[in-house]
Amino acid sequence: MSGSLLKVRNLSVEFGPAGKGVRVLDRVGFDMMAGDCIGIVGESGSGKSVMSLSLLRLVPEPPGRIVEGSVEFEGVDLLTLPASRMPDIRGKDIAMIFQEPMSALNPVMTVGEQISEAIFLHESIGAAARRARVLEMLQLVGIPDAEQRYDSYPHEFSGGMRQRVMIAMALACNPRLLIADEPTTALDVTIQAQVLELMKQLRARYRTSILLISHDLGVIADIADRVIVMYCGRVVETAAIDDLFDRPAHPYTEGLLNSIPSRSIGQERLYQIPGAPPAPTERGPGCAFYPRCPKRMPVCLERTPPLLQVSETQQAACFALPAARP
Amino acid sequence: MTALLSTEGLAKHFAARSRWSAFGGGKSVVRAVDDLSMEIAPSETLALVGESGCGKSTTGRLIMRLIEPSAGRVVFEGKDITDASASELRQARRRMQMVFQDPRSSLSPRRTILQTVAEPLDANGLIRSPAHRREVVAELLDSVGLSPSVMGRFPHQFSGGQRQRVGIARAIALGPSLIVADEPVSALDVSVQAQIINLMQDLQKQRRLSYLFISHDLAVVRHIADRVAVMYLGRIVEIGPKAEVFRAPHHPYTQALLSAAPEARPGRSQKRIVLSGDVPSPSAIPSGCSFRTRCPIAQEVCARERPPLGAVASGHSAACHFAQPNPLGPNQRGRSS
Repeated sequence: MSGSLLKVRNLSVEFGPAGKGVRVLDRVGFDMMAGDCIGIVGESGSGKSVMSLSLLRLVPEPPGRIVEGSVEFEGVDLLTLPASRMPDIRGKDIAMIFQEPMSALNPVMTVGEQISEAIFLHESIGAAARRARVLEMLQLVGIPDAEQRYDSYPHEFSGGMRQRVMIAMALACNPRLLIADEPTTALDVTIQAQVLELMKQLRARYRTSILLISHDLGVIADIADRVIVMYCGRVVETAAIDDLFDRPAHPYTEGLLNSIPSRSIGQERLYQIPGAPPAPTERGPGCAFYPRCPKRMPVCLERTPPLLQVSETQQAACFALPAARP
Repeated sequence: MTALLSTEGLAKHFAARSRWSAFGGGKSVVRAVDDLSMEIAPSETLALVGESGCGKSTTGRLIMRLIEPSAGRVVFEGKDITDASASELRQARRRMQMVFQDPRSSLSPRRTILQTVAEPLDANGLIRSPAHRREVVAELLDSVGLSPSVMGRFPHQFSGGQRQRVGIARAIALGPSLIVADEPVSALDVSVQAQIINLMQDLQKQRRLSYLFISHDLAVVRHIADRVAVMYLGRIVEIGPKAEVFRAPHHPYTQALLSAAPEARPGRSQKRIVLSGDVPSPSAIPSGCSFRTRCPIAQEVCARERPPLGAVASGHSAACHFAQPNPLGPNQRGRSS
């Protein structure tokens, strides 16, 4: 069960012409063990989606470019593999589900055929066995009348049902890692609750590792064991879920938690982080959070703080931490 | 206290051509809003919550008279504006304004901030001179936390939060008493959302504004609202003071909705009520109680009779034959640190 599944080091992505590109992902690194569920949280523009795409080398190129780093999946660096090997890994070892299932599904192909195709690409089993597997997957994700629904088109499904189809497709080849990019953001809360419940059940049953990307700390708190907080293309904090919510170490994480209305019940005013995140073109050499930070110091403008160990399960990138003092 | 705004039996039915109408099939009717009665007091925030398609935005538009109601009445500041003429409506709209979800699409990309914010003033002939115009707009920008120096800029030069401030400045320009805010913070990131919520609350105190706050986000509603109305398939299923509705929700839909919202705190989702199935189409609303197809406690009577919105406590009503306080126990969504 345990064992290193994913090891990301120094992953950097730029957009735009070489040499003058804008860096949207800056030396991101983290580790994931088999069976982990890690949540990646950040606001728009924090680089969380680019990060998830670059793990599978799906960043559109041009304009995007992975400029450095390594993504080691079960000991193999995906970034140095020949591009022709990637389709074998995508969908088979690592599967992905996206925010808007309507744009991720093919509108002119039945749902059953689409799931069947995913199996066909990766496994050499006969058509009858494939159909049986598809029906099993549809039932697994809670789609009623799987036999009839096999021949339905995506537009005949509701948003929640489409997301279930996406999950069925992603899990059809029993991947070791599932990357879910805002899987419930387009759904209503009662439907979101259904999909989260389903992901939890599947995780318990198949021990699939999950990398869940979300802007919603509520969703992350619900399902993840560990959290990575991103700000302006960098990892600013990583911690076990309870540590993050109980003892946030980075001022940005603290501000983010305090701005959530459900955490300040009974208070007159919400805590607010002043200003807005800088655009990628406006980021200087120092800490990107400097202009909004209540604990800023002159040194923060000069260089980027490295990730420092706060406790056994927690790291944060801030010069104001006790660990940063000489 | 007399109500600032009240609606009585408000309804909006859209005629939708059914898929077979070209072959002689009948038309179907989408009942977006039905039999909606509520009141908003001066300086009060009433939140309208529900999932997509429940009719909350349509309700906002009906109140603004941006669309014509199929039935029912809207009374604003003591005047029935249901059949108001164009000039009467123009008068009423000086006192009721709207803030939209996505300021990127509700602000014209080709107009400067000065033009955008001054537009309602211009349209009502309240501007005496160009200098007066700049002066008034500078004051408005200042009150929403923007520097008057941004007047010459265009919306694309602003972040989402700043654009929403511009939208709010335009809405308060004529000194309204009611603002219908349709998902005003849903498109914003959490840290920016807090700024806009605080701003709206500050403006409410300074200007004695009432808000009809339309939102799907219960955490935001819990922070900003005085009273909450929960909608399901075009009808209010529960309405009451915020503290009551959150502490002791009586309608099974409200209970499920509250328990479904993920809380930003680990290990709190143990007793979640997960509803089965999807919301039925508003063109084929179930007979009797429209929630019965997903209701965990539905009985035979629910298919036959529509439960009226009946009082369960002072100022607190729910539309359920079996309305009873929160079976989850009072601490399920209880107070927190």
